[in-house]
Amino acid sequence: MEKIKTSSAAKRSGENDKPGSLPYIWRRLKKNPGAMLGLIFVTVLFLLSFVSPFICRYDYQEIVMKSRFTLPCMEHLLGCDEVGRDILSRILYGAKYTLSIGVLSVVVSCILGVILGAVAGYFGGKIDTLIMRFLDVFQAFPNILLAIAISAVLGAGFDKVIYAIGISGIPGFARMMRANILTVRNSEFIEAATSINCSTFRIIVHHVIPNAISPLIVQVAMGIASAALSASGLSFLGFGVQAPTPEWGAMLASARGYMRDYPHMVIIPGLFIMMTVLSFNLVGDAIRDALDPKLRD
Amino acid sequence: MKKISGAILAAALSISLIGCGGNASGSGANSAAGASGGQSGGAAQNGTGAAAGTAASGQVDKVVVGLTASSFDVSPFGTNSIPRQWLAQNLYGSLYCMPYYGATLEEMEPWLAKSIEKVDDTTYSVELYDYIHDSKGNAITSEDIVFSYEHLFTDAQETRINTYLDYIEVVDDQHMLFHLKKYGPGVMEFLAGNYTLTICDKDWFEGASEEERMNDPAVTGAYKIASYTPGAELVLEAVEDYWQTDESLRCSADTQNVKTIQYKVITENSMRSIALENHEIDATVVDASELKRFYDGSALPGWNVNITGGVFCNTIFVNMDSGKSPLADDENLRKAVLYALDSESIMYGGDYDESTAEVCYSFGTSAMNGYQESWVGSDYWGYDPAKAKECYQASGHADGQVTIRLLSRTSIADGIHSVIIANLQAAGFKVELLSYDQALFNSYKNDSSQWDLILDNKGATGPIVSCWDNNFNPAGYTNGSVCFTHDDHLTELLTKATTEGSTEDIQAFHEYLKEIACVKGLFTTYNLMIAQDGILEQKVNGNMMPRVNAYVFAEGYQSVGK
Amino acid sequence: MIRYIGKRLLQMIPILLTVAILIFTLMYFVPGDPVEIMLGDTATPEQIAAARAKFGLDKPYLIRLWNYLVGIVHLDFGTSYLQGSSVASELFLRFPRTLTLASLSILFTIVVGIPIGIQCAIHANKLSDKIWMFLTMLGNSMPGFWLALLLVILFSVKLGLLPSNGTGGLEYYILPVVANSIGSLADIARQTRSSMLEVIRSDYVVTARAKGLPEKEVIWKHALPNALIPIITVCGSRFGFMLGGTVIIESVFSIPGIGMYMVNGINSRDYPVVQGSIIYIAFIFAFIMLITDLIYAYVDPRIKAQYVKSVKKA
Repeated sequence: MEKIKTSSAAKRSGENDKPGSLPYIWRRLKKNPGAMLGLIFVTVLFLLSFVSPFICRYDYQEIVMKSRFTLPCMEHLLGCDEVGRDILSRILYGAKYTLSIGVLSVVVSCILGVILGAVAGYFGGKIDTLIMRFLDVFQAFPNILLAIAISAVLGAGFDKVIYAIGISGIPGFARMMRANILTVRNSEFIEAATSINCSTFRIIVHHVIPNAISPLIVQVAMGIASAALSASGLSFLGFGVQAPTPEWGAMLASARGYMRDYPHMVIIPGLFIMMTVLSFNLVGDAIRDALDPKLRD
Repeated sequence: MKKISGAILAAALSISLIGCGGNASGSGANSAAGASGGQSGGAAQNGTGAAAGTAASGQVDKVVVGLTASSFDVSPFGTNSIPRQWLAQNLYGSLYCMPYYGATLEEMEPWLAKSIEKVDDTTYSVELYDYIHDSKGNAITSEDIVFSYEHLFTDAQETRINTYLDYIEVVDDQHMLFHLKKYGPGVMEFLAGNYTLTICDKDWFEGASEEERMNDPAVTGAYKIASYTPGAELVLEAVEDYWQTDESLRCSADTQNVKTIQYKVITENSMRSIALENHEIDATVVDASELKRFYDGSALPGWNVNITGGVFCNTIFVNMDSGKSPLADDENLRKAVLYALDSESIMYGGDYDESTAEVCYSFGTSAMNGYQESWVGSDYWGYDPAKAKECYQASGHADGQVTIRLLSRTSIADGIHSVIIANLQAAGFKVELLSYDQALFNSYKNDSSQWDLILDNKGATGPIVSCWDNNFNPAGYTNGSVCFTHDDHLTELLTKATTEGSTEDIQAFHEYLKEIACVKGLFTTYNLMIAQDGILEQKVNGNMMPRVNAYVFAEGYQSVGK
Repeated sequence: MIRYIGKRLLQMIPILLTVAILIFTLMYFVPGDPVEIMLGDTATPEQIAAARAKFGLDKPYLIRLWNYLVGIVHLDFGTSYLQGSSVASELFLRFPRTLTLASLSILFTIVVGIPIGIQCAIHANKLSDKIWMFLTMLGNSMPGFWLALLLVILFSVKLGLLPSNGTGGLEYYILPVVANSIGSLADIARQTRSSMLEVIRSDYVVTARAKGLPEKEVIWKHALPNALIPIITVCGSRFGFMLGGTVIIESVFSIPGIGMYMVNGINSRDYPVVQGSIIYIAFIFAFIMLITDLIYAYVDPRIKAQYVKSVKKA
């Protein structure tokens, strides 16, 4: 405990080690067993989703009518679905959808949000007001409703879910970026950069953003978890990825009708969604703790 | 055919009457139930009426029924919806009552109209009872009928009125002449008593506020709205001073076997069956996946089960628009598609089996009038993977070289899509599934550049020819037909089948449709009605939907609902 | 204070109008046609065109938007294409169900989440703290609808204890509320834990302890009120989140609230329904944010003083 305190004290005093704090975060992560487990789980799942077609006994889309609704057993470790497809193969193959929707939609919201937030925060004035009022509108109703409305426009499908969730996540990133920029904008090194006639763009990209990066990392890590959850919700409502794509939310939605007799069809995809989201949450949490030592006291 | 299917089902279930039987003999053992009528409709109704009469002494107080959809409109000229198909005729009368699915004009039961006589092919004379009044005491006369039919077209979007009816000529308060635009099986039946044709008083409607129309309409049927909570519940109450005072003249639709009908919205299939099991509702309909809880070759103890014939045909259409699809210009590929599809596996893929669905052998279902017995088991693009492969190769394409886009809806079970795709892949096709929600599906389905194959669910009001007419009559389409056929011979055969409607005409159209390889009816799913076993009979209406007001209850039945 | 509230309410107007424009525009671009759904298979192209004209769907975007906005200003959200009823009156009717679900959920979260957070703060970094924090995070990682399905299987099907769907007495809300709150428990518990940790170490708490006050009193009377402000912020934002979450939970439990109304509206392209629902929710959302701010003021006299000052100044 003492050790952590000193390191946090060191961190507080050395506010400008932020850009270099990536190795620092990594060092802290390694000490957190939960986060490491999460990281390992997600990585293994991701790798497996690509090699699964080669190592699984059953093809993820092979229909075998006679093994419909098979309960988990030695032949089929996680059982079979309503048309006799092996659930394990589908879960593993489908992992890439859930994982990449989580990651990519956060990439979308992060890039667009950071740009908007940076511009608003750096320039201030009318541009700031305009952007922030616009974001107010986006935040005037719950995220998931915005995601639903956008996916109604775009239609269902893997890429469209990414945009729908990504766009609805923009305001969060933009606000956070703007707040951070406001705090760094007035700091001395920016003044110095301005005084030596650095271009605005250069200042933003080379000085402002790197200095706001660590809260961004926390937001990204936590964002992936909630994006993955939203995606499963969208699929469940029928606005997301559509069956027969073995995306977990879609698997859950199509298994819903059989849940009373064959609960394994509902429980298993749900468990995998939960474990994945939990993993991202654990990692995000550890990063947040690493960057905000107050929480560790 | 319908007799047979009726008989088979009736025997299989060994329970009450099945409404799809084409006529009384189809379910003769249960004729006391009498939902079906012969030529002398009046007499048959007496049967019903009498039955209702005995039940009336024990008219039950209340029944709680699970309704499958939440968005509906119960105002007089509301837009069509599933709940309306159940209960529109509880509230609003029509000229005649359709006692069972596919009944002909002669078999229909007089309701508001005392009689409907054919003058010539396109003219019918209609006579109303002279003592009809609605629940608020307004007299119903010819003028109201004209008003209602106009509003059904403009407000309720009942487009078939416009397609079938030219105009109504009023002779006097009780007499009218219906002038039709077209004739043939199903046309006057539709105009006389389709469930979508609701009649209400002109003066009342014009004077009523929107609030009144929605929550407390003046009704011409045997039930009025006691309370309505949109999205949740609709409670109907038997009209006490119902205009038809002569019990012997009551029809199936204005029987009042229950005093209060509480329709409770439960949209989720499994939730409806849980509600039945937990004794929250008396009756409902369920999907195939839930049937086994209530039925195992026969109804399980504690339950009354009524399985009625399917009136919707799950169908694959092939895009026939030359230049827009690889299939349109290559008969070999079309044959490959149709041979490759295994209706039975597809049906199983959707989690149906023999007790919940049946394979179709035409573009139509066995419950439809005119579906020929001889088709069942006939060579109708029977599943033949080898032949499919052969046809595919005969087209000169390598495996996986032809990509076909399958347009479908997200509401269709994943298993159905999966089996269809697997079938087509086995023949050598590469398949791209375009699965959209209903709205998007509707906008793409008439666009020949969007799909090569489409999976759709097609129904009819009774005669199979009306199913064909809805889908292949060029008058209804900007691009030929449902699958863009531009085939004069097809249209010629269709016109013959829809106007004359003889067995030969029907056979000829069926054969030709098969020959040009543009459509394959896959399977139809039954309607599965489940009730607590104190309900002895679950009647269906002319639309194969529950007719709750005519359910027959055990002596002293108490609703399980709270 | 009243002037402050009035000012905040006025500020809502431009935001709500922009929300209306945004949603109208989104819906305008949603592919699919309500008329084709309504008319079904048997309609001819001419009939479809006639119906489109009747609903004004054939008019250009700007005219439709203008008509819609004019309607909204008169509190007329239009008429549902499919149900023929006024959207405003339907929303009014459905709203209590959605509000009940969301309010009970936030209540449940507060009643369960804050004590968990306090316990964790008291026993910070002990095993019980870690277990509780992990459990709340587990809840946070669960899809709410999945939990809902599992709860139905257990409590309605297997045990037959609770109704599985619909609305009615309080018992109908138990399962939906649990499913809807599980995701927010973690946030509230965590926030409580961290702000309590800060407060517990502060001088006055130490003083209170030194005075020999019972620990319970110290925690609940002295520490908690001072830790509340950040917790209230989280509650406010979670309440909004729950209003959104009801969309999915309502569809699992067939609760005819605004969420189900909206989803049905999207599926049938019933634009007035979708637009009305979202604007309504946005209004409620803004209202809740206002209430959250007022609760701040109530809890923290410093903020209250600011309001009074700003009003005086103005």
